[in-house]
Amino acid sequence: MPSLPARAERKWYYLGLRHLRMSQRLLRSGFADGAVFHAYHGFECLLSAVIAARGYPVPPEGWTTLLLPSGASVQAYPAPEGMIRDFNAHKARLALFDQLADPTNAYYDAYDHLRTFLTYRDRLDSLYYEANQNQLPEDRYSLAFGEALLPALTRFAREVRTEVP
Amino acid sequence: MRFCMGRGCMTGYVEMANTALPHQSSEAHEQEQAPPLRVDREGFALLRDRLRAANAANPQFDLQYKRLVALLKTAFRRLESEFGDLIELVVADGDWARYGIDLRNLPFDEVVLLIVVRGSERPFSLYWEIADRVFTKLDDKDVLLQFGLATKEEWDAGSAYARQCGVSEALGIPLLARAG
Repeated sequence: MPSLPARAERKWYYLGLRHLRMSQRLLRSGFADGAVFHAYHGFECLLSAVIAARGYPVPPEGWTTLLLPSGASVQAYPAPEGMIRDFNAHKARLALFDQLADPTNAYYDAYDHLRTFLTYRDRLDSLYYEANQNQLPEDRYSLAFGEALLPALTRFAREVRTEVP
Repeated sequence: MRFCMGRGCMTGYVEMANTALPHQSSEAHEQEQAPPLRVDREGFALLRDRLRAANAANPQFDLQYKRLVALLKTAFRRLESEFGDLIELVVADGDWARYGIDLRNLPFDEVVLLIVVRGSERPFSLYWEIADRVFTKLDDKDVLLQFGLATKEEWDAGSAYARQCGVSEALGIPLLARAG
C-alpha cells in the first residue's frame, strides 16, 4: 500500500534538518564554506516549513499573474497583507514568513537576527569564487564561524518545530 | 562577477592567505589614533545619482530615497555609538550601489552594507551583536537592511586586487568612513 504524501511543512522541515546535518558533516571535515552553504539552505527550508504550515505555497511555487493599474502584468504571490511581487524567491520567502510567523514565538527572535546577516550573498560567496576581489569561499568563512552558526540554526530548528505538527 | 572555483585559482588564495596580519600592539596603537567616523558626503551623492538614474520612471523616488537615507543614518548612528571603535568603513555593497535599483522593488531587492572591521577577525558573535543592536529594530517593513562583515586586511587585499584589475566600481560606495 503506497504511503500518503508527506505534508508540505514536514517535507520542508525535514529537508531543513537534512541540510543542517550535511552542514555538520562538512564542518567536521573542515569545509566551512560548504557548511555555510548548507546552513543557508537549512535556514531557507525552515522558513518554508512555517510558510507551508500556515497553508501557503512556498515561493517560487504559488505565484499568480497580477494585473497592475498601468496595464502591465507581473508575477506575485498571495500573502496575508496583499500580493508579494516575484522579484526574488529568497526575499519573497522572507517577506511571506514575516507576515505569517508568530512574533511572540521564540523562533522569531532568531529569525529577526539571522535574516539581517545570513543573506543571498552568503549563498553565492559560500559557493563561488569572487573574481573582482579574488576571494575564494574558503577565504570568506572560517571554521569558527560555521561552528557558531550551526548551533544557532539548530536552536532555530527546534523552535520552529512547534509550528510543524 | 563570480566563477565556480577552479584549481587554477589556488595561487591567488595562497598569496592572499600569506598577507600578514597586523601585530597586536600596532593594531591597538592604530585604534587609539583613529580619526572619527564621518558620513561620506561624496559617497551619498554618488549613491543618490545611481539610484536616481535607476528610478527615472518612479514618481515616488524622492520620498523613497529620503526614507532610505533616514534608515541608513539611523543604522549608522547605532553603529557609531555601539561599535564605533571597531569600525573602519561602511560601504554600500552589491547591485543597489553598483547599478542602482528601482526603489519600488523594495523590500525584494537587496540593500546590503559591508562593514569593514578593524580587528583581524569577524567572529559569529560580532555578527549577532551587530544584528541585535543595530539592524533588528529598524522597524521598516519596506526596507530590509542587511549587512556583511570584512576585516580590514580582507578589505585592503580585495580592494587592491579590484583596482589592479580595473574593477574598482565593484567595491561599492563608501558611506561611513574615518575622516582624515
